[in-house]
Amino acid sequence: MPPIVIQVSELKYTTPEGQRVLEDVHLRLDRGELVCVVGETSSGKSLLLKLLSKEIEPQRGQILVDDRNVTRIRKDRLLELRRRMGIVPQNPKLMQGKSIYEALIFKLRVMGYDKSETERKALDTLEALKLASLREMPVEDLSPANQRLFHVALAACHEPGLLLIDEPFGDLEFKDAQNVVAGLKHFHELKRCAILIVTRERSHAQQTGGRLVLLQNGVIVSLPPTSAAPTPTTASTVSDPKQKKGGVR
Amino acid sequence: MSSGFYLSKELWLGIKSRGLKSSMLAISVISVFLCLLTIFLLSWNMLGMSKDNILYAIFKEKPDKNLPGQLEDLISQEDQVTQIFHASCESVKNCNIPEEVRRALPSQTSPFTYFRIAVKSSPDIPVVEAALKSKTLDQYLIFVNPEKGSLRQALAQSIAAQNVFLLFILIVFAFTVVTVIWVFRVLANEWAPELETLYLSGIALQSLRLPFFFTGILFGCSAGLVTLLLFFLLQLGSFSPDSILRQWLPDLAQPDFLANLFWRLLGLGLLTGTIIGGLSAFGVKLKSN
Repeated sequence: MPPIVIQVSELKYTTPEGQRVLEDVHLRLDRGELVCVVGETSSGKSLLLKLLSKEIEPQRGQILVDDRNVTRIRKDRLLELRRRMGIVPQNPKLMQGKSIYEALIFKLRVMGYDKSETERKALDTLEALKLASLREMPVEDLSPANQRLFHVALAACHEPGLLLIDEPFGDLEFKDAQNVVAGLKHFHELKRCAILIVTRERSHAQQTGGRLVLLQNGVIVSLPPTSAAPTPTTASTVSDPKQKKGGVR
Repeated sequence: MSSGFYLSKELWLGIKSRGLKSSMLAISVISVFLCLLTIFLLSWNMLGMSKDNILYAIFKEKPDKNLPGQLEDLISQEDQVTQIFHASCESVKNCNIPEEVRRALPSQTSPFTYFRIAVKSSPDIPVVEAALKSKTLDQYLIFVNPEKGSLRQALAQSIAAQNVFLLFILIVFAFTVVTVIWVFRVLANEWAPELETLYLSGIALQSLRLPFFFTGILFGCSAGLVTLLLFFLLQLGSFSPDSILRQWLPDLAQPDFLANLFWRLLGLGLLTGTIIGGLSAFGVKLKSN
């Protein structure tokens, strides 16, 4: 298996209205690595994830996921590629009338896994995200933090090699966001799959222990690592970081 | 395909827990039922798809040996006539004729002789009757049209009635289309979280569309069965020869009417449901936020 999961080069995207969102994005994500892309609202973070999963086509640039050129991939190959990804959209719609375990089972069965494999994968994922004790709880009754983790579980239960998570900490209370951070960290430590998180919450992103990069003015800028734990008063969104312009690596 | 079946089953089982109103589903079945009913009435009444379109001609007196043959030749000259059956009965009781014909017989005629004249379509019956009368055959024969006063003959004779009927059908059809579109939109909205999750997990769009397709088929078949039930009730209410229902829809008196109708309505329901489901499924477009 190639060591690089995502390799983005010279990626450019302009909206139909003519607004340049991504200018010249370079990004690399290695197998088992956790990377957080932080950026202000409307900086193109969610767009980047949609380009990676080919929900949107870029105007220019190359996107390699698992050595496959996403921009030129055939439709049948795209489905295959998506099966190797787990995608958590920014505001996923909430499944209702199911417990979190049932929801995972539902997805895995539709994906064609047999009963025993389905149960094993579902339980493993819930354990890794610290949701096992809540497995019988209806999805709609979960706390906001656990709902976010549930959506990660739903995206990750088929054990993809790459997880794309859009804004897992947004609009959460500090404590809830910390719970999400803890869940994601635990998941990453256990599963070691490549995770790309995009968020505007820089302080929480730092807490995940992953590599931080900044998406600003349409380009990716790497950020220096920091060990300072955020507190409710210091938790911050993205603002004027020390910049080191250029490729990520 | 098996994923699609599993998905359909799970989504349907989950409907109740979502609080999706069963009345809404009932409305959609009823609307498709109305659609089927109107298609049925259209084909049955306006297009004259009845199994038998028969005009009876009964001899007023016992005919001479050669007269039936001569009259048969005259009758068979009419374009609309497809078949002529000539028979005699020893008594009215033992004769296989409809109740309407039996009642039209003069009381003293027994034994009697009659023609059973099959014509192309129901609206042709009065046309043939008028043509034969113009050939003065009524001096020998009493013509009995068992469908006199039926809905289809009323429609056949009046352009205004046809227009009203067509307007009615268009209104019902429009109602069905609007209702079904609405129901499928609600369903798509209800199932959106599941479909979105699966779409992002690489499940083919065709599999995600299957539940809508099956839903359409289910609506169609349910509506077919509801229509069949309605006709069963109508038949129960039309046992009496004086029944207005029987006068309007003479087919109800045919013993094998429901048996014939079963496959036609189920087929029609299946076809309508497949079209509705197919169009709705084709309209399903998925994208994440």
